Amino acid sequence: MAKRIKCLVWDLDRTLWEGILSEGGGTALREGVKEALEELDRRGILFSIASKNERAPALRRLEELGVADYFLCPEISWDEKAEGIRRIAEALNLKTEAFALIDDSVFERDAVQYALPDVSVYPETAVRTLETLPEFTPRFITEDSRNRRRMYQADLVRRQAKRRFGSDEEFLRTLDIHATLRPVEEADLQRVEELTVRTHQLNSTGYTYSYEELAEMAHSPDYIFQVCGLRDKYGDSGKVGLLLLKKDGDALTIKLLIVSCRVMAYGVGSALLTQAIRLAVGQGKRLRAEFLETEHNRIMYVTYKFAGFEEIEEQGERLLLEYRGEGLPELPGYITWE
Amino acid sequence: MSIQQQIYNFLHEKNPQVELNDDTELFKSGVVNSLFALEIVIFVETTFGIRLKRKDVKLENFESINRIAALVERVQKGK
Repeated sequence: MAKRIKCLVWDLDRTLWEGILSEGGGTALREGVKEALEELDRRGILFSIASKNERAPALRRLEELGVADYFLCPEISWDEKAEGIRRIAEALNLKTEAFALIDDSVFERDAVQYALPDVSVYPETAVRTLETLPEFTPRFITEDSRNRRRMYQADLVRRQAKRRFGSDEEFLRTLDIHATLRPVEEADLQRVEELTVRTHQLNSTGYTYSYEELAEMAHSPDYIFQVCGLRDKYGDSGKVGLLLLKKDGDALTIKLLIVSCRVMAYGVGSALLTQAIRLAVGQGKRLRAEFLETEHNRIMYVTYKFAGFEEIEEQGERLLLEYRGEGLPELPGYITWE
Repeated sequence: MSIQQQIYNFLHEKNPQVELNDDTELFKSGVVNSLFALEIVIFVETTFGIRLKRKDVKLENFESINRIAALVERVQKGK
């Protein structure tokens, strides 16, 4: 699969703005920067900053230039930029391989590449061409991609609030989380495809389907294909989860269980799995799940096992799990289903 | 610090309101739930320097502090 950049990290001096702030520069954005910010933001690519500068004046200048709102978790200090990028990735819950750095200093670009070889680097002169590159070009631009930055911003606020509470569940109850689960419709398909391509950690198989295949399954009587939406007191997170079940005689088989990393902390993965178990038990059917181990999706294996699934078959890299729990498991109490 | 003690400290910090001993049933008491499943797996791996295999990741091994400690010891010896 072609590499997709989810977060572009900007240097400030001579990259985002003209000149050097501490020497009286930084009074104007460089040519093409505003356009690049607008266009890539529209595509759902996030921005952050890694700049060796004094933090307070740099942040003030970003505000004066009217662009401060674009940047999540800016790292403005005298630390190594690779370290800054690591911290940004952790705060946004993304892998560094989804990161790119744009920086005028060849030294900084090399230093970051050396420490984090999976981060892509671009010189400041690339600013006008970024939008033509495949790694910055998602196949679809959905309502959710346009709102991605705002959703991440809300998520960061949430996590700051979380530190004040004891247990996770206690905290989650304060968020007034509402979820929906309904059949995939035509209008959902672009977002559905985006979720299958973008999600790596909370993805049980990593299967990707073409737009046409997804549309076919949404209409087919052989599949149960549902999309999960989520909102809480901070706002609407949009469509964040997918559940695809294939009807196999007296069993239902989970082909896809996907949850956007953005709502990882909400336990949506196991909540969706519980929904699937309840569905199968309600129909008197066994529930199986295909699982394809990837570099990133171990959390899904743990989710299945802790929900009462056991391995019943191993075919190369593909595992078949079956639910062996008893009774009807309870849905988590902190989510209201609509 | 014993393995049990380290696991206790971790769980207690997360659930200060629950009384815990080495045999408390972690799932039934609500100390460990699905939200927390990966966290405890990663805690055990990073704290004790082990890598759990797929077969080690199952409910029974995480049912109590004593069971987790037994798992850790078993995997450490297996190295």
